Amino acid sequence: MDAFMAHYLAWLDAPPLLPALVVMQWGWRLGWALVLGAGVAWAGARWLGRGRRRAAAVAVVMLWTLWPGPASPAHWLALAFQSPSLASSLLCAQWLWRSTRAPQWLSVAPRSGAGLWMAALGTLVGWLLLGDTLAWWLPSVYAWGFKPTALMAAVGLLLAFGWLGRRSMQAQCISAVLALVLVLFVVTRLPSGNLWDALVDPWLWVVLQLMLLRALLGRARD
Amino acid sequence: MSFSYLSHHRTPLVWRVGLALLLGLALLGVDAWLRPPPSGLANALWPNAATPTQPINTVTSPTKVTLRPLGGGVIPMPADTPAAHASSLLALPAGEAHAVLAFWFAGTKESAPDVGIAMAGFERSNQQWSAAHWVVTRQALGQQLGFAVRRIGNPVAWRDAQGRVQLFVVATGLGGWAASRVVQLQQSNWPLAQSQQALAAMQFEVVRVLPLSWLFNTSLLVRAAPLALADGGMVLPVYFELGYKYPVALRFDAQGALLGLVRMSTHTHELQPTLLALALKHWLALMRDQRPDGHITAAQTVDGGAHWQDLPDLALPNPDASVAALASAPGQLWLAHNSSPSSRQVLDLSASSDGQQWTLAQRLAQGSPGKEFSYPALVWADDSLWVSYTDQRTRIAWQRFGLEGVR
Repeated sequence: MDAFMAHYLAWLDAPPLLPALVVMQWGWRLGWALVLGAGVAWAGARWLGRGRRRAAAVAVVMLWTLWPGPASPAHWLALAFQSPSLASSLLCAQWLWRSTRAPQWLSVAPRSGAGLWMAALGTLVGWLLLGDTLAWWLPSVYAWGFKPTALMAAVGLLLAFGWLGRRSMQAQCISAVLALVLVLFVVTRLPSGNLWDALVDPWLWVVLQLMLLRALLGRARD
Repeated sequence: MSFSYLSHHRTPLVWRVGLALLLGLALLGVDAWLRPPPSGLANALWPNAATPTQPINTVTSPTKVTLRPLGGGVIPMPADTPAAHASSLLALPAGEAHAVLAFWFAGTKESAPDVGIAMAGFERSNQQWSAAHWVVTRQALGQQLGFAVRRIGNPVAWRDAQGRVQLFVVATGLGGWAASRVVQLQQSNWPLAQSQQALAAMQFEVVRVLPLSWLFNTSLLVRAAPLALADGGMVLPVYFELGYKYPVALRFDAQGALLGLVRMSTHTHELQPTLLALALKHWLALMRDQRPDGHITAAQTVDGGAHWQDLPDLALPNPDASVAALASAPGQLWLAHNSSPSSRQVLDLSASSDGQQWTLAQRLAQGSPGKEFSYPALVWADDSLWVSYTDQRTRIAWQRFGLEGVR
């Protein structure tokens, strides 16, 4: 038992585990391919319809993005923004999957329930990370993202949404996405080895804030 | 972002929570299995002190030392490169063909697309610098990273426990220097043959871009040399510079793996930190001050870099210019700095025993108004102190001093 506790305490102080360069290269490219593919599927719903033309456009853009070298959009997107988070990539993958089955080109953002709470939490985490980046406060939130305790907190969140799922389908779906993000992060350490980079990127943070704002305005109107 | 399409059947609570619990425990178990073991405590190492068998926890009493010039001049530049800046020096152990390696960025002008990282070595046999050659180019760096790089600069070299040279360079994203990231490279053809010619064959491969910030991993730069640790690792000082300027310390293990990062100051006008070991766990960081009429700013740690506290500014003025510090031995501290309050036309080397009170040891360079001698680097090699600095942004000058009066 003592040995287990010693091992456990040592793990709490373990250093970061970062992804290998080749994993980063392909992971980032795949992430951008999913984001751009979802973007084409979203925009293409209006101009290309739902048929083969749109599927072909999505496939071409994704293959183009996956292509190594300066000809790929990922080569330049990573210059400016590095990589989308695993959460953004998975949500875009979901969007792509859904776009082949459902006719709508833009879903309705959640106005209540677990989705809204998740948007609020993501917004809060983004502000904490931005404040840390700009040295608005001393505790380094970003550095915490390298530590096992951050992963423990995320697992706690997963359990919370699993519990909330008893009454909410949204919570079930959020916990499924979160579980996938955590599994991919632990196995690949993408996109950077820092848990926050896997959970929320600045662009997703902006989207979450817009969703939150929209929901709050909608509630105020109601 | 709607989730209602995913499922139309709610799973029982016990299954859902049980599954989440099992998955969570499995994730934590895999994480514990994959992660490297924790690092030990960080103890500083001095280049001119015998390996301490007893902990040195206090600053030793000062000893009056005088500097004796042993050499100086200009490091050869690569052909057709009119601009040079931000040199970094690396000491090599006895037995190597070269005593010191110098790295700097050079090209047609700062931030030009053709700027690359150049390297030259001081040959022990003939006491001359070798011809310079390129070790990193912007195109090669982008190709290896898998994404574009707009400009490169500020190389900082370190020799890991295996004797492999690791190189940290700044690579910018979308924007100027404030959009920089720190890229870690390591020597790919190692070990080199012990010959003067072998240096020209030294090649580097990218390890990774270091993840240092959530905001698109942007605006972290490296400039000053790392502080060597007794475990073979080091602490690399870096800084954030997008609007706010603040210093950050990165710790690496003996193989060059990142162990963690700690912000070093609550102030937001300090950049380009340089580290001095006063005792095993008592270190000082001296920094460039961005404020008008600024002074060299300071912070300290007494627990081997785990926590840092701000200190009062030094009495030395700082014209918003990079400084370089080196503790060659306990109580034997050196600082190369621009001593004029408003220009970089004077570059001095000062000495101290406590890091607070500094006295002029040597005037390194002085020019007429408008001249610039800046961005110094210090290293201890072959029982002497080496200094390099940017001379008029066109070349890298160097000087070497022996110490007299050392206990």
